[in-house]
Amino acid sequence: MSGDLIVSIGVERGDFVLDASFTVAAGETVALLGPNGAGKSTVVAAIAGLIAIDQGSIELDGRRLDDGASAFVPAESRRIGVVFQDYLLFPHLAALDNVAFGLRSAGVAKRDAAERARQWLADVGLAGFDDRRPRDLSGGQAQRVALARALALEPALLLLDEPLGALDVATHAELRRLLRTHLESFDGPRVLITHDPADAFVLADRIVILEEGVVTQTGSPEEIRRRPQTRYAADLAGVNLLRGVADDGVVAVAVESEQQSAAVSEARPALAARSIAIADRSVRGDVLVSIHPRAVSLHPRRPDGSPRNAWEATVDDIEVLGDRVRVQLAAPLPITVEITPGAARDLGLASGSRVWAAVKATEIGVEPA
Amino acid sequence: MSRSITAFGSALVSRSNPRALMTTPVVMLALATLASCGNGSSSSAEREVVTVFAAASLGDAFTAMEEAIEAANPAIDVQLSLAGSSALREQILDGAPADVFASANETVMADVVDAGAASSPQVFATNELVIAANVENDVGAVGLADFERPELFVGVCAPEVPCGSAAVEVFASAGVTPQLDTEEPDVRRLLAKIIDGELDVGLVYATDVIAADGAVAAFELPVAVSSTNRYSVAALESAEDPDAAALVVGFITSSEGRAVLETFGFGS
Amino acid sequence: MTRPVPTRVPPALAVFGGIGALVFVIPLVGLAWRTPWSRLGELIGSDVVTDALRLSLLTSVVSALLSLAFGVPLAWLLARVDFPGRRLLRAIVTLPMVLPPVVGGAALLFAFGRRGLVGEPLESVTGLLLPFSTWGVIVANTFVAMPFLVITVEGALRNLDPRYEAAAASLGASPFTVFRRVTLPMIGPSLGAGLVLAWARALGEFGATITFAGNLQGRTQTLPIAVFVALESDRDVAVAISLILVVISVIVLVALRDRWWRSS
Repeated sequence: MSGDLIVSIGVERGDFVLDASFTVAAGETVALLGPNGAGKSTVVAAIAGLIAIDQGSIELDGRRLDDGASAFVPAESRRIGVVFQDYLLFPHLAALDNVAFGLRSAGVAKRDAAERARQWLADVGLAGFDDRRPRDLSGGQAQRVALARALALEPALLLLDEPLGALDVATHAELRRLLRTHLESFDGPRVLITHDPADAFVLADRIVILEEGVVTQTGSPEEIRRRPQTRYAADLAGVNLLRGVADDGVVAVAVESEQQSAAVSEARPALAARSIAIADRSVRGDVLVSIHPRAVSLHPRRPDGSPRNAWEATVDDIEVLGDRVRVQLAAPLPITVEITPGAARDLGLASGSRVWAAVKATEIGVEPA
Repeated sequence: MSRSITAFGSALVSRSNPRALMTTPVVMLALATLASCGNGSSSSAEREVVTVFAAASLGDAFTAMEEAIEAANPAIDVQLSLAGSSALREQILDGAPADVFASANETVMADVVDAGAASSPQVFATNELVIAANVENDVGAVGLADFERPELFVGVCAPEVPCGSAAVEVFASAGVTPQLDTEEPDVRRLLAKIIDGELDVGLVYATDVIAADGAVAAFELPVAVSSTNRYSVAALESAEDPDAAALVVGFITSSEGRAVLETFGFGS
Repeated sequence: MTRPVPTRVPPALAVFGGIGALVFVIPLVGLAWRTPWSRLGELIGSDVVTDALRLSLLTSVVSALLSLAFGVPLAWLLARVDFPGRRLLRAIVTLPMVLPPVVGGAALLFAFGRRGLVGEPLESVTGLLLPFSTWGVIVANTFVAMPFLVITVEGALRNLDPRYEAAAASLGASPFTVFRRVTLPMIGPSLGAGLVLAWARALGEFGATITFAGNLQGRTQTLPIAVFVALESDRDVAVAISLILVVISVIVLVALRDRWWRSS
């Protein structure tokens, strides 16, 4: 379809072989999620035109950018807006000149370019930051300048390489929300490269998981959460993400009608609430709660010492993944728990059986949402 | 190309052997020089060392002179230090450990004597300035008047060194205003540039032309303007062994010494 | 404001570092000691000295600018383009830094002299002759000075994060625009330091110049050559000229080089 990005990248670098194919439709955000060394930055470089691919093809908006042989459109002619890891703002140029850089390179007159750059800075909430040097910007401000710089050329594709990677936790969540808004206002395909599953799950319509140069799974956040197909996917995608409202060390979690869609789709109404105790009493307001599957323990009876977060739950589904067993719990708190096969045997778990779940307040991650 | 390399190399290490000027590559000349240095120091163990500071233009002649002295006086080991006379004078006045000084002109020697560093210098050789012309450039330069032709590349020695101050006198007495392109700081460098064809004509010592062995054409100056350079030698007050120093001076001024000098074109 | 922690100096470093400093300071003191201060004004005001000063400033500045014009692109090629023989070329480019300048001057004569490989055809076509001309001084100066700029700039280019250039390319900048608007400004401090080093080397150049360009007051006699010939006759003049060289160099090095090196 017009506007789409269709990628099939084959690159060989010594022992490392990258073979990744995926498609991103106009108006869609796809997260390329993978561990370090998976080949994510090679994919970025190939799409951006910083390296040539050995096999396959890269097509954007019906235009062939690279076919692994004769066709190669150089980086400066690809019309791809890239937000680089660490943002790479030009240190010798003020924020305004960074944003105007692409326009000036495209031959836009100085005054025009400055005017449009000023508007872009205002659009990302940085009106009045025109003369700031990159070294005088905070991480979040730098990210937004980088975003404005990438968008100013009205590119055919927006490519974001770890756009939230360099930020501290507090600004991370806030900027993720802002980034989501900006992503949605961009019409073309959006590609988000990240190693952080939370970013992928919150921002992406679809997730492509890349491991050791190969795409191991593609699907909606929902599909990946429910049916992770590799250990890596299970590890990262399996993190339970819950929305709620925090107050004085307690989070009221919004539990949705369908048990498994606990993550973050905001459209669905909350039917019931469940309180979770957290360690940090200072957090207030909307939060994203993350609970690692292995942080939850399962018991046949109410556990001794009565941890504050202990509840009786119904087992919804059991799945054996090699040396681990993933247990989906149903109401009242629909989360995934990971235990050893031995523990699963001892508990005599089966679909529909009743079990006590417990998690320490200190094991629960909370960040503003 | 190879011709220029050879000529240049020989100008750099000219003391080793005048016959090598046109034929021996730079590297061999350099090696020969290194080797001769090595010989000098290794055989000096039990012999009396006499350090002779000699004007650069005496280089080839004094290398032969050294051999002759040592052959006649086995107990003496002559070590040569060659440089411009003025530079040597400064070194001597600064207390350099020299035993004998052979200067290319009398005024430089007079400075050393006036400073009390030497006494009773003796003139032992003379040298004439001659016109040297490159043999290939075909400029037809044969007289001092040609030094006024602006299209020619003309070089002399810098007026600060003896061959240059002599040239200044020559031009003055001939009433010639030379159109100079360079004033080289020493005569061998000047000669090398004439041999290489970078310069067309220049004023050099007659002995240098002989050393160049046909690589340049030489024309004598008219008697009326000719400039005779008188070389003088003296034992220095600072000599460690005054007798050995006197012996070396005596040999240089003897008929034997004169014979050595004459083979290199010096007058007496 | 925080209270700075005083640096503690190990005695061994102080002693050896101090001796190292004296190696440079004592000769300067010696020069000042031999300077004929009462005659200094008269000596410096002489024709020979003012001509040499003017010529030295002219040729060293032009050489530094030529080094900039040709050395920066050369450094870029060496740093960024993987062509066959690159290592060899890099070695050749830095050769003038280790070669005795006199040898460099001789090589220049063989190449650009009247009978030189390039000099002879160049003269017959353009009538231009480098030896014994001010341009010859500039060529000799550039030959020995440019390597300092090239290695400084090449080092800076290699240290520059290439992703900035990638970022500029992704913003639609052509390779030359990237070079002009991103690469050059980002290596600015090193460029300045390299330029000053090249200028300083050109100012002090002697061996290649006298061999290639000769010595003639007002045309090819730079300050170092004037010192050399003056040493043969009038040591006071030589000392006075040396003092000028030292003063100019120190002023420029302190004012410019330190500033650039601090910021780079």
